[in-house]
Amino acid sequence: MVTSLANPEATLHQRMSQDSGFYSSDTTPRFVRDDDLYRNLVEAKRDHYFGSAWSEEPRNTPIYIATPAMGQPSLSGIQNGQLIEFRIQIVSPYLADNPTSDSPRFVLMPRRYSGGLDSTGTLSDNLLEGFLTALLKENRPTALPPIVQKFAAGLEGVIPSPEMVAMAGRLVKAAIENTVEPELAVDVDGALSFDLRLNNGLLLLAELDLAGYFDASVYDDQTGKTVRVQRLPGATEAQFLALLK
Amino acid sequence: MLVPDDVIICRLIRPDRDYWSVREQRPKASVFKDNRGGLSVWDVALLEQHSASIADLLIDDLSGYGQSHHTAGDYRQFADDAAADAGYSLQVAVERRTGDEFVVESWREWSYAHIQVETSASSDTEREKAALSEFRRLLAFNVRFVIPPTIGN
Repeated sequence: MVTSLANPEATLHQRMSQDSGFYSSDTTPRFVRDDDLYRNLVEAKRDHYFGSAWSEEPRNTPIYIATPAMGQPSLSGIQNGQLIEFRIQIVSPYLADNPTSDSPRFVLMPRRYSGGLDSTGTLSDNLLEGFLTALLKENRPTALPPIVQKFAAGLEGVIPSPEMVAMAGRLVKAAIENTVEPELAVDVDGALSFDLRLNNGLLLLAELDLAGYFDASVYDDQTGKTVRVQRLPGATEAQFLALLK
Repeated sequence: MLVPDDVIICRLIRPDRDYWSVREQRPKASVFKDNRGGLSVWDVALLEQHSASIADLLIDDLSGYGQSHHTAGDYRQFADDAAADAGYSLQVAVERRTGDEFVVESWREWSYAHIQVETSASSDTEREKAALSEFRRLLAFNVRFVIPPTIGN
């Protein structure tokens, strides 16, 4: 699904120039080197973020981040145009600072070239398309928001069922898409909690526990006193989603 | 020993977005959740009688904690309110528990002011869960006095 690569006859760089969603025609690198992030990942959070998927790399290996925007990955130029130095491996969705973000950034770990570049040093179409395809089709649809990953990890050996995790993912997605500043958390008992300001001004508080019990209430606090207007013990996913619309 | 309804008690709020609603500037219901069988709270007036304060308790890694004040009666009233439509009679015990087994070592100096809040619900049934969830929300929404925790960027 590399729909932006519209003209198969054009060179890769021509396509990049034509499609500002992927590449800009100037030489400004749009990958952002983030050494602080790299340090954090390697020194403190590597296992948490990547688990066994992380392979040991030289400590000076830079990390680049691409942020999917508007449904398309904003993959863009490599630093100083030196594409030949790296091939790109999608390591993991990056757990952004905002755990409720619905725009997960993907950590791309550039590695020494081991194929995919042609003799003139440009990135091969196959590699680029392979990367984009993976980003779009494999990672993004299946990547759980960090808050759901945390919920899925359970507590003290008690983990929610896969169905419950999938439901949590849908609830979180709906909350993010339909409310401003959704406040999501995994509580001390492992439950996933929602503290949401609905578009109609009401408050929706809900809680999905590890056993799958879902509880929700709607409150009106617009007159200075908080009054409950709807109580949904044992709420269903459909009820929750209906409240968000 | 039961704590009279008019006694002001303080629940500390961890400086974390999981516990403090930055959007609403109030504690989250999770502040009042404890999976170890009880909430630790503190008698504000009793501390003051001993020339101390809640702020004195915020030592070492407790720096940045906030405060959520209710009366002991609030806890009991909200339990009743939460139980009203949950089909479960939620009972709340607000009692002085000053023994070492109730107070972590770093706070033993102020153990005279320690209060434990325990509920009758064990989260075993959906009715109990429903009552507990609502109880915690009522506490979060109806704070008498609050000091926000220090939430980093």
